[in-house]
Amino acid sequence: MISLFIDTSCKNVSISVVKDNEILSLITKDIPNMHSVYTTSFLKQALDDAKIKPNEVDNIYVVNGPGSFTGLRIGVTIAKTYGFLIDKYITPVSSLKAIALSTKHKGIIMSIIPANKTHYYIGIYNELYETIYEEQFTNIDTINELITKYHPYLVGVDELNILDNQINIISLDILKIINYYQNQEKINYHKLVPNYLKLPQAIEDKKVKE
Amino acid sequence: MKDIYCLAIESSCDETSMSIIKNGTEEICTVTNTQIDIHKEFGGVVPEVASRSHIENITIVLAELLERSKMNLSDIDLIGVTYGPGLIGSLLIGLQCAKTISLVLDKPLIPVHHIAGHIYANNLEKRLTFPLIALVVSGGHTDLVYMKEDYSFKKIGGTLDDAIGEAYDKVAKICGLDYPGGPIVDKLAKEGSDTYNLPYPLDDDTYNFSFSGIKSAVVNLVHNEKQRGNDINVANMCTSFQNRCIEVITKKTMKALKEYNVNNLVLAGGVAANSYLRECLTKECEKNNINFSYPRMAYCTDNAAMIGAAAYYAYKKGIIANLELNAKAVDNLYNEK
Repeated sequence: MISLFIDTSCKNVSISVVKDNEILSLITKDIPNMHSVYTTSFLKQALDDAKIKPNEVDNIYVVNGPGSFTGLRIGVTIAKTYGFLIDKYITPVSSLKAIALSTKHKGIIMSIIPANKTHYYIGIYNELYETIYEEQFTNIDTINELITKYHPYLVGVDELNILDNQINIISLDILKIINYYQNQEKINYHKLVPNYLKLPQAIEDKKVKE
Repeated sequence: MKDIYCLAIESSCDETSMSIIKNGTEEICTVTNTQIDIHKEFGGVVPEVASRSHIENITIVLAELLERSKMNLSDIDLIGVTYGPGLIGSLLIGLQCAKTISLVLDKPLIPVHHIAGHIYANNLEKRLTFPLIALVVSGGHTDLVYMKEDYSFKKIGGTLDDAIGEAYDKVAKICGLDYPGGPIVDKLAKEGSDTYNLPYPLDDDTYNFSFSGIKSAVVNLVHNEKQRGNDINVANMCTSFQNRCIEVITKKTMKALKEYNVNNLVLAGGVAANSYLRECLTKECEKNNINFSYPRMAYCTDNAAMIGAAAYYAYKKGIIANLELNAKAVDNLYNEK
C-alpha cells in the first residue's frame, strides 16, 4: 500500500510517500507564506524520490485543520484534486491530533496551534488519543483554565508567543499518524473541506448585527 | 495537424469555472458555479467566503465538465489557468487544482492573465484579426490595448483611478440598488432621461480614463438632495451617469482606432455586457468601417472558456509555467512597450 501524506496547515510544509510501514520519501520545509508556490513541486519531488508514479498512490492523508485558512486550502485542494484524478477517497487528519500523536509522552496532552495575535486552536487528548476536550478556537484565558483543570503536557509545532518554556515543540511523526488514521473513515473528494473551526469574520460580524 | 484540447480553470473572483476548448477557438463544454447569491447578502464579494465556496465546488465542477463533455482526462493536452489578477484566496484554489492536474497527468501548465482571457473571449466568436484595438472594461480595468499579433499586448491607455465597472457598482450602491449594480444601472438608464448635470469623466486628448470625479459628483448630488429632503430620480441619475461615461469611452476608443490606423475593435470584460456601450460602439464602427466584435453575454462574465482560448495562443508563444507558478493579486498583462 502506497500512502501520500500532505500537511500545509502550519509554517512547515510536509509531504511524504509511505509504503506500508516505511517512509520512502519525506520533504519538510519551513516556507512561511510560500506554501502556494512550492507544495505541488515538493509533491512531485517526493513522488520522484520514492520512485512512485502519481497513479500508484493508494491512500491520501491530508491535514485538513484547524490552522491557517489559506494553508489548509492549499493542501486540501491538492488532495481533493489528486483523489478525484486517481479516484481514491481521502483520509482527513486533524492538525491538533497529529501533533498529539507525534509526542512520546503518555498521558493527557494539549496541542496548541497559533491562530492570530490573540487566539489559538487547541485540543486535549487522553493517552489513547481520544478527544477529551473538543478542538476549538480560543484565547489564552481559556487555555490557562484548561491547564489548571487537566494538567496536560503541552505540545505544538510552531513557536507561540505565550506559555514560555512550557510548550514542547515537536516535528510530526508521519508513520505514527498514518498508523493511527489508517482505520479512520475516508471522505469522498467532492465532500472534503478544511475544518476551519471558525467562521469568516464577515459572517461573524453579520451574526452579531442580527 | 493534431487537435489541441485545453482544460481551462478560472477562479479569480466569485465563479468556479472550468472549460474544454479545442484549438483556441471551439468551446467543447463549460461548467460554471456562480456564488452570486452567497455574496448578495453582503453587498459585495467577501474574499474568505469566496475561497471557501471555491474549495467546496472545485472537483464537482471538474467532474461535471468531464461528464458533460464526454471526454477523458487522457484526451487533454494542456492545462490553462488564471493565475491573476484577482482575489488571491480565490485564485489559489483554481491554481492548486491546475498544478495538481498538470503534475498527475504530466501535461503542460499554461498561465493565463485574466484580461488576456477576456480579450480572447472574442476569439470564440470569430478568429481575431490583427492588428486590433481591444477595449477592456470590467470591475478592475478600463484599458485600451493594441495587439499587433496573437498574445502581444501593448497598453495605450487606462484608468487613473476607479475602473468603469467599479464606478457603476458604487453609483448603484449610492442609489440604493442591488448588487451587482452595473447591469441594473444599464437597465434603468434605458427608462430614464438625461436630466442631471454630471461632469464628463476626463474628456481630454489622452487615452486615459478617470471615473472617481463623476462618482463623487453622484455621491454629492444624492447626499445634497437627501439633506434637502428631496428624492432623487434613480432612473434619470442612471441615464445621466451612463451617458457621460459611455460617451467618453466611445470617443477615446474611436480616436485610438484612427490614430493607430487599425480597422479591428474587440470589446472585452464584464462591462462588455453593457447595452449602451455596445450600441454606441456598433454605431460608430459602422460609420467608420471598423470590424467590431464583442463577446456573447455568457463570455462577458468570468468564465473558463475564454481562459482556454487564450491558453492555446500563450502555449503557441511558448508561455509554459512550471509547478512553482504562483497566484498574483495584481499583475501586468502588457508584454510590449
